[in-house]
Order: sequence, then C-alpha cells, then structure tokens
Amino acid sequence: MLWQTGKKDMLDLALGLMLFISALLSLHSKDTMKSGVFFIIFGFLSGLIWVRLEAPDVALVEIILGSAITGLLIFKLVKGSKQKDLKAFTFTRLWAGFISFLILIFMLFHLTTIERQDRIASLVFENLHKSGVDSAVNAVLLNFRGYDTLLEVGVITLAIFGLLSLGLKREAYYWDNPLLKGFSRLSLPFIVFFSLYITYLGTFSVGGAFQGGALLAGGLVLFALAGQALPLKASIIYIFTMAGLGVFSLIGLLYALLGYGFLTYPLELSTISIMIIELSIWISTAFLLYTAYSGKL
Amino acid sequence: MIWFYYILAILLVIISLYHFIVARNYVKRLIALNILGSGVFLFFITTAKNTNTESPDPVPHALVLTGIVVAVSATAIAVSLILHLNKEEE
Repeated sequence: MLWQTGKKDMLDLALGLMLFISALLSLHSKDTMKSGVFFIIFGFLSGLIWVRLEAPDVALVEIILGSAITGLLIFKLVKGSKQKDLKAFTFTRLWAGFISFLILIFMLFHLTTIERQDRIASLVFENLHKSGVDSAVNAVLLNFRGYDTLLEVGVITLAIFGLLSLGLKREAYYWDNPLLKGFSRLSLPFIVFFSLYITYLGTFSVGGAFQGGALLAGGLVLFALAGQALPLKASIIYIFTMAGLGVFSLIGLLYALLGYGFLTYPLELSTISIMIIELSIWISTAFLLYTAYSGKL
Repeated sequence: MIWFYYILAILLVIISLYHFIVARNYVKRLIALNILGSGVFLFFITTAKNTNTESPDPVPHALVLTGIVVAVSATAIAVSLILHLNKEEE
C-alpha cells in the first residue's frame, strides 16, 4: 500500500522537512554565499536520506561529492563573481510558474499510477553469481552495464579537460592556517589507505571505485585547501587522470579481440578484471575531481 | 513512507525548476540546477525501494551513482565557464 505510515517514520518526516527547508532557504536567500552554505546543508541531509532509503553507496558519494566538493566549487564561483541578484521580470515569473505548475500536475498524475512491483531487481539478483562480484550495485555498474560506466568516465574526463582548456589562471580558494596544514598532512596517508580499502570492499559489500575515489578526492582537496601543492609532477597527475578511461577501454578492447565481446568478461577472469578497472577508476576519479577544484594540472 | 519521499521529490523538482528559470544570478541558477538533480535522484532511489524484493533494486542505485559524479563534473565546467564569462565582461 502506498499510503501507509508507521512509528519509525518520524525520522523520515523530520529529515525530509529539513531537506525541503534547506532547499527553500538556499533558493530564496538574496546573499549568494548564504545560498552556498544552505546548499552544503542540503547535500548532507540528502546523504542521510539515502541512508534511510537503504542506498549507502549513493550516500557515500553524495556527502563527499554532492555536498563538499560542489559546495567548494560554488564558493569559488561566489568569490569570483560580483554579479548582483536582479529581480526577474513579471512575465518570466508568470511563465516559470506556469511551467512548474504543469509539471506538478503531470507528476502528481504519474504518482497515482505507480505500483509496488518487481522491476529488474530480481533479474540482477538471479545473475549475480555470473558477475564475479558479490555487491549488486557494483555488479550492475562494472559488469552488467559496464558500457554506461565507461562512457561516464569518458564524460568526466572530457569535462575536466574542457575546464583546463579554458585556461583560467585564477588561484583556487585557500585558507592559510597552520592547524589545517598540519592536520591535512597528517590525515592524507590515512585517507589514501581508507579509500583504497573502500574500493576493495566494492567487490563484496558497500563501497567501490567511485566511493573510494570521491573520498580520496576529498582528502586531496583538503590538502590543497591549506594552500599546499601536491608533491607530484604535472605529468604524473596527467597520467593518473587518464588512467581510468585508458585502462577501462583497453580491457574492453582486449576481451573484444580475444573473442568474448566488448566489455564481456569470461567468468573465471571477471573478478580480477573488475578489480583492475576499479583501481584505475579510483585513482582517476580522485585526481579528476582534484583538478576540477584546483583548476590546473 | 514511500509516498512522502515521492511528494518530496516532486516538490524539490518544481521549486528548483521555478527558481532555475526566474534567477538572473548565475550562482543561484547553478544551485537550482543541482537541487533539481537531487530531486530526480530522490525519485529514482524511492522507486528503487518500491519493490517486492528484500533489498532495494540496485539498477537505479548504479544510475544515481553515475548521475552524481556527472553532475559534479558538469558543475565544475559550469563554474569555470561562468568565471571566464565574468573575465570577458570586465
């Protein structure tokens, strides 16, 4: 039944209400800095809601990427632009309201047709033993729908290279604080090992390449936030950023040449292939998002 | 509790769509776009929970995971495009 509530739902109601209020405040406030702060709160709360909806994989990525790194990017933009928030014309407001209202009606109508049913979940669980990994999300991500993930890695690589080709020389925002410097230096090795552990966990439990990569990106951005440059040459960072796309397509092509088909792993080799791909995506996601923050190689 | 999350997702989508059209400041517009994305992700994850199987459907989870990473890279490129635009205007 769709319309049913229980005693535990108080938590859901409170979280959802807070999420909605933070979204409203973020959209309504005149000050863009304030909007950015409320957006970070919004991202964190939506991460908590993913946990309530039994999606811990998504929660890990949302809290690090959707909240922290997007927030930092927005702060970079707020500091760089001095544009005032002008009031929109009445005509614009009218048609915006009209479009939103139409979509509300359409979606409410759609809501009445939704039923509780088995979608493709049972198909995934039936074929899980053929994928080489025990975690259903990673089986979908890297085996059943590996082509999507390959293209996704391609999209983020292209986005970062588009960003670099704009050639902005603006310094990334940093905070010159000795405490943050020491803390980020102390914590970076632990973050590297823990993110590697999360990536390894992806083969049989919650975790995976994107979660680990997001965590490592957070650690690297924290390191850069203290005004320090990574002790790596630009050419090495370049290799790291390209690793995901390169290794993923090479493995796909290798199996195509061996006669299995593009990105179709034979059963006995699937676990090791997926782990190699996960490692390459881990390192390249982390360095691509770090480059997105720092704005240069 | 599923109905509550569906309605929350719809509300997030429509208010952020309204503000995306109305806002004339690029920062606000970018934030509205990100909240619109979150609303769509909430719809997906709620649909994933709305099954008869014991654990939620992993396919929408994988799609949303992909979507969040792509949204962040889109935000990154939007930020540098807007900064570039401001530099041109100065």
